[in-house]
Amino acid sequence: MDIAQKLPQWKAGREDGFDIEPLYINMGPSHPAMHGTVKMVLKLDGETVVGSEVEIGYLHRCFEKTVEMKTWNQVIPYTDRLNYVSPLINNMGYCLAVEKLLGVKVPERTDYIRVIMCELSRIGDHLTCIGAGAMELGALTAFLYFLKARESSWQLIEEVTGARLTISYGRVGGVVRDLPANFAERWAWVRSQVEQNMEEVSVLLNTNRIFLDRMKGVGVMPLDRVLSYGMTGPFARSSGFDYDVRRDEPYFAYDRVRFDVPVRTDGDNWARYQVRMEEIRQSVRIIDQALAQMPEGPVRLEDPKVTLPRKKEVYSNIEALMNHFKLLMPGHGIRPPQGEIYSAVEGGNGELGFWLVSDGGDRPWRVRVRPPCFPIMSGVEELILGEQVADIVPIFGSVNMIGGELDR
Amino acid sequence: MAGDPLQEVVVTTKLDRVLGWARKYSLFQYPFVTACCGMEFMATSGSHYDTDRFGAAFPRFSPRQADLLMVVGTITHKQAPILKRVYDQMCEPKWVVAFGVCATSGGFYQNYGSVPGIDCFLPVDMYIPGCPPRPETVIDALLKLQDRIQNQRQALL
Amino acid sequence: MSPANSSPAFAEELRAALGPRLLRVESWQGREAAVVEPEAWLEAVRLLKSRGYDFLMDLSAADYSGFPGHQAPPLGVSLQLFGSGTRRRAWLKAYLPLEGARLATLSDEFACANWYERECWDMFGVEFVGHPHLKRLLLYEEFQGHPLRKDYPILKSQPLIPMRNAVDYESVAAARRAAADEDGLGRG
Ligand code: SF4
Repeated sequence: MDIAQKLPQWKAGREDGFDIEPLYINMGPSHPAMHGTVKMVLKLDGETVVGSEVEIGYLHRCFEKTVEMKTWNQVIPYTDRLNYVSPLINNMGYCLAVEKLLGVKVPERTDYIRVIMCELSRIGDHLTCIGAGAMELGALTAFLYFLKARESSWQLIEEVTGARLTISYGRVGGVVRDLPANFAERWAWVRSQVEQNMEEVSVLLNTNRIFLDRMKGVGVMPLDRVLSYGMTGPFARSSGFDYDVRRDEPYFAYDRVRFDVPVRTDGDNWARYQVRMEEIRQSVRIIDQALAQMPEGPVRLEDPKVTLPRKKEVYSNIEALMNHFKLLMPGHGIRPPQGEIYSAVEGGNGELGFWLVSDGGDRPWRVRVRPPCFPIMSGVEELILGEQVADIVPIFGSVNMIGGELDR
Repeated sequence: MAGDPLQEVVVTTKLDRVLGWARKYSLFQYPFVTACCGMEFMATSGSHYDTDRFGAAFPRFSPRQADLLMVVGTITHKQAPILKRVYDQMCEPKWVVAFGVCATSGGFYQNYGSVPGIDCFLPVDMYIPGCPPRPETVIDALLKLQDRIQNQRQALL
Repeated sequence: MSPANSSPAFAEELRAALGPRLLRVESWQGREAAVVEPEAWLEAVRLLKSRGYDFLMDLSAADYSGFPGHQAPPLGVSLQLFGSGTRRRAWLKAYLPLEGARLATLSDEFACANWYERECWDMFGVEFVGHPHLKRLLLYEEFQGHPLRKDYPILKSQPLIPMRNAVDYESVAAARRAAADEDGLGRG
């Protein structure tokens, strides 16, 4: 659709001499529908948005500057807090980039564990996004159901990683520890919770007149604009851009599991809702396969230059003790060779890229994150043009803005 | 006094106590949610942990209707004036809770962008540690805050 | 990024079109980054765009002042292009001086370049010539300096409202340096 077509004819003045002026209002920075803090200055003609300016940066926590002072492994807790709805993907994405820089490959079992944990996180991400979006349209029930499903997945994540949200589970060269012995059992329980809640919410929402009317045909982003804005992930896939890093540039063990990439072409809120729902089902499918295929074996690389030796060895053996010190002393530690890398994984919102620059030292020279929701947010001004004020809320909900990764 | 008919129908107490009792169970909170702690905040107010049980979870998104300001997440220097303004708009009596270490002290964000704790420009009544705090910690803090409200001197405006 | 998907051909195409204005091709882990003269930036992007690299994946910069063995001017702007149809990637770089860093804007070519360039201006002070709305994106207008440059001290905050018990960053930095000297570990 042409933008000019989307806009109502602007009435500069009326014959009866009654001039109409546009109304300017501020939406945000602290507004219940702005997840986190974003400010939108809207120019309105009646209820229609005829112009806007989005201001971000309220959560600029200086990630990129801070991590330049940290060692390579110390960066990991900071990556948790980038996209705090799917922290595991950020963790693993960063570790993968550093491993590529080091030129090492992790054991096969680790690849599968990473796939499983990333997909668990993706499920949580999409559940939150859909649930919060539905809540803002008044469907509080859907939110509570999805929160319940997410709670179960968080409990499982906690059993594996020791924390509910800020997990820091990845390490350069592997993961912290193996999955617990009863993981498959527990996953079956989480799976039943997720599937049951999805079923219930689908019944509640899919035929709900109000929900359909608010979602269908609202917030349409045509494919050519998606490409021009550089959008990726579920948002772009619902406009017909069939690109998924997991399938097109497989990393971890994604080339060994089968899954479909849902694509829609309508590009409206409804398509985005459908794509996310379908992706949850696909994630469930991926975890099932990964669990079945997962080989036994170590979960960490046994490389004295990259991973810490086992605690038992450290306490009983001088080489291991020295190795331990070498990796933890300031000025030593992991030292990737001088070089640069751009490495991408599929985050909850799209391509999550890490551009790392190493000067050969124990701290990164530069860590750049390509935040997946950044380009999407840059298109919001265009997305809400010509829409009603009330529709900004569902549109914004379907963008799934995450302050931590947007502002870093 | 045995046989006093009034004893059946009248409870005697102090004004402070009765006001405290009323105030502690009708906390209207304004969630100022900025960051990752918000996820845990959502989980806490969701059905699993349900802070509504304690009469302390009814969110009002207008500062003028709220008396408990929940600062959830990192506050940056760009955001500080906004938070200050929200606080100033709230009516007395009001309480402030710093949710998570970022709001408490800046946490591990010690840099040019983040405020090292909201107590740099706001009076804080309750600090909740944790990054993010577990729901149990939050509930504990809410109960402690209610205790404190019960026992404080109630200002009559 | 698997090397299979990176296209070695893009550097050749650039060489054919730009000649000596393609300064060199850096090679990192099987991927190539073409370094072009800042003046040829827009031309190079247009050329790649016409060859199917029609998707701007990422635009950012890094400050290489003090980087061991770095010869070129210190401010490196890096651009990741992607082919939405071909699924190939191209990596373009340009090095600029810290003072008066200027580069042509890409906002006419890609819609999202608008925000990426604003962020780059905000963090590094690269001025994008011809940008329609070059103002700070993540920080506020009152902020002085460009924080991701190496010479910006990490603790130097610039509050908008008065802060109680604010510490002045210089004394903290000095104390940290002294502590680092004491353990003789030479923290960076
Ligand atoms: S305390 Fe931790 S979880 Fe909470 S906002 Fe800060 S970094 Fe995020």
